[in-house]
Amino acid sequence: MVSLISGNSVISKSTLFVRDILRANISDPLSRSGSGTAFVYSSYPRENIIYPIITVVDNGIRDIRRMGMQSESTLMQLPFEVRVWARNVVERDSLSDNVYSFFKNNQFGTGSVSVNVGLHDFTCTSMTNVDEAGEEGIKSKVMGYKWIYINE
Amino acid sequence: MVVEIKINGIPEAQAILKAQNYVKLLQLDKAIHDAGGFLLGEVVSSIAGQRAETRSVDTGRFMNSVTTDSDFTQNFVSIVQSEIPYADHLEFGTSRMVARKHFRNSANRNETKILEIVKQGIK
Repeated sequence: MVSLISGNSVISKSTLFVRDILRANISDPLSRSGSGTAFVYSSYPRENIIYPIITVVDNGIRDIRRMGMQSESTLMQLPFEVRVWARNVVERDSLSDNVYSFFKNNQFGTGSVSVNVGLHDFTCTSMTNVDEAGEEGIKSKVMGYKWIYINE
Repeated sequence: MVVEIKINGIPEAQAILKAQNYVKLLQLDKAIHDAGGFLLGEVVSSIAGQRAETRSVDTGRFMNSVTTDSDFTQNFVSIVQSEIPYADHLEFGTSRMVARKHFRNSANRNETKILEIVKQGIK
């Protein structure tokens, strides 16, 4: 479980951090064992996929501003793509609600998961439905989330 | 004692400033649409396999479906898009196909260039 993001590991650890907080806080509709390891992934699983699942990938991490001419600190933008893959539209939207509400409602104060580790300025940048055809087709929602991180 | 300061030509100056501002706004609108045109070319190049992404051309329908608004009906917005039904599947991937990311990667890769086009357009 990644519980801290440091400047030296922001690229490698931030995706795992987002994945792990979703594993710990979003309920698996199938109540699978493994504390969410079979429910939330940091890449699309290769085999034995049982839906619903959630995938988390980073999407263009970059510096957006220097923190002063004589400073090595930078303001970084951390965009993530959180995608809910579900068996039907109701399940897709319900899980998407849970993910969005969790990020939105746990930024500050007691129970904060993002500001406490340096992820500020939470923004949902997009939500796009990508539904595969037919009754059996997987229904997914691609959600863009973005945080600001000060890398000192 | 009363001192009256009177500046002549204020209405004329206001008219000039308004005209200049209007010209600047027109330049900005054109620059944004120019940037949209540039991004359109980049997305098409990406689909054609001339960038880092996997080539997505079979019949050419997807590549030819990418458009941008050239009629200037939306001020200060330029939208690069494809309206064919499977465009989302190619861009975001599906359970059986990896995402091609032609639009998002092109936008990310060219953000600096797009800003430069807009800056040049309003100089």
